[in-house]
Amino acid sequence: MALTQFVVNGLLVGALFAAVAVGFALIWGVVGIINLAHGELLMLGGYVTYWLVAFSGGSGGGSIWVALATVPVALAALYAVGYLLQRLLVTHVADADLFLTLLVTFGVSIVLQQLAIQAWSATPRSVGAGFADPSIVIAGVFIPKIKLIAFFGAIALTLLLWGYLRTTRRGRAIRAVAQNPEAARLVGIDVAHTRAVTFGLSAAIAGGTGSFVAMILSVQPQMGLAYTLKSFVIVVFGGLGSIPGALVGGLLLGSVEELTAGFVGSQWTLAVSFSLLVVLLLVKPSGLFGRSVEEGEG
Amino acid sequence: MAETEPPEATDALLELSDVTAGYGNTTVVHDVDLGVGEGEIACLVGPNGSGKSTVMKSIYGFADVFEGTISFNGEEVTHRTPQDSLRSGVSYVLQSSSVFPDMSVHENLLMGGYVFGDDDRAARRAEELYDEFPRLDERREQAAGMLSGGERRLLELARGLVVEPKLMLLDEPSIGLEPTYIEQVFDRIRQLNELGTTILLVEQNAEKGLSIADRGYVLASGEIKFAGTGTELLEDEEVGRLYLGG
Repeated sequence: MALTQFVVNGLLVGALFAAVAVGFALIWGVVGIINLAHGELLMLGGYVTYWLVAFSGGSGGGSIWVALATVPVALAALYAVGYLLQRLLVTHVADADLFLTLLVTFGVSIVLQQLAIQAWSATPRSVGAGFADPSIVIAGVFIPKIKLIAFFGAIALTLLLWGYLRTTRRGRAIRAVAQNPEAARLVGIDVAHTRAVTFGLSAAIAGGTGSFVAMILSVQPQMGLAYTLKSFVIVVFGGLGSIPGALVGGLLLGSVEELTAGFVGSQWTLAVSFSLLVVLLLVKPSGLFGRSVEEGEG
Repeated sequence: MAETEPPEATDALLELSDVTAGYGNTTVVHDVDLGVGEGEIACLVGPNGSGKSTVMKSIYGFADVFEGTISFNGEEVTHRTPQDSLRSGVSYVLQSSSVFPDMSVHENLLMGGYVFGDDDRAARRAEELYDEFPRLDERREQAAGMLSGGERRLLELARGLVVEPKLMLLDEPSIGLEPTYIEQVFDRIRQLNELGTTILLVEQNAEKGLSIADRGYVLASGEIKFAGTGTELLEDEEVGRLYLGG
């Protein structure tokens, strides 16, 4: 029974990992940037939810509906942050070498962390305390309601993004820029704007996920790095540019981490995840899902 | 034969006068005078690196125009963007492969009408083009990256036609193609022209290009060296010796 419980815990939290990773993969595929500040965008989204709940009645007493109502705010706020980040900063190094882009996004991550520490202190904060709803129990497996809500929320964000890229005109423009920027300019796409929109979407989904993380776990200024690393593992695992790949990769990573934490010890989770990554890179460097033509969004 | 002679402004659909253009700080072409009359095929020939593509790009809005003016359809259009070009009826088929490889043939055609801001209109145009390009109709759900080189070139041509251009800029349409496809592509260009599309062509295969052209320009070191009808240039000894390898 412990095994099932760990896997269920893993799937529940894995959907959040997947949603973060999808945004990370989107920027990588479309703008060609490995955004080391991606986790900090999630952190900011978490604080948006924390503070909105706190101002609207104090943590501990906040209702689940208030918390959920903050998700669109986090999405919108982080969309703006992402759009501006691309327009004002990243665009200047996007065509430079990889090292420079890593350095710049790493710098952004440090700045955001330090600003968050100055503004809100390093104390972990959580809005989860108020949701003392009983868990659903199915065949002896405990499923906390709030985690189930976060799970579906994260899946919904991922599917929304996927549908947007697949079916809308603007989504097609984003894929066009990813596949051939010169041809995208040729057919009249404003490439700089499209890249900024993409960055905005990526940041928004990170921020929305951060809202859910704030509800089920906690937020603190230095939480971002772990999510950036997880995103990296998932994207390499699922294959660059594949949203279904990222979804499966996220659920798998969540399960592996929970199983490791449950059976071995939580201090081993990162070591196990990264060992798997190294093995996968040796065995199947294109990722589990490769860059398939059918599924690839980028 | 005569030096560069400015074309008569009256019937020119496209006209460049004294255009100096390049990219950023680099000037590639100097004082280019060039005119293409409505319904004509004009061909730009010249050695590699002579600036042929830059002339095309300065017309379309891909290169920076430093001096001179470009007019199209009676309007000055010197510093416009690709979006403006497409909306006013100028499309451009690049020399390098410019399909979106992971998109289907159909999605690629829809991208050709991106500036419409209306997918339905682009889809209607795509249906019309499938009649003209049955090959693409058969492959409409296939990823463009899986097409052969010749099919890809046809797709690029068809995508350029989605906006129903008055003027089409074709950059080396025969490059990298097998001989049978080269013929097909040139037939297609002639057909398009007969249906009323004005064409400005850049062609490495100068004889082939000039043979279908009403008007030809020889570009070397960023300057127009000779201008005349296609036949005149083909028969000109100096042009032949210097630029056509004849």
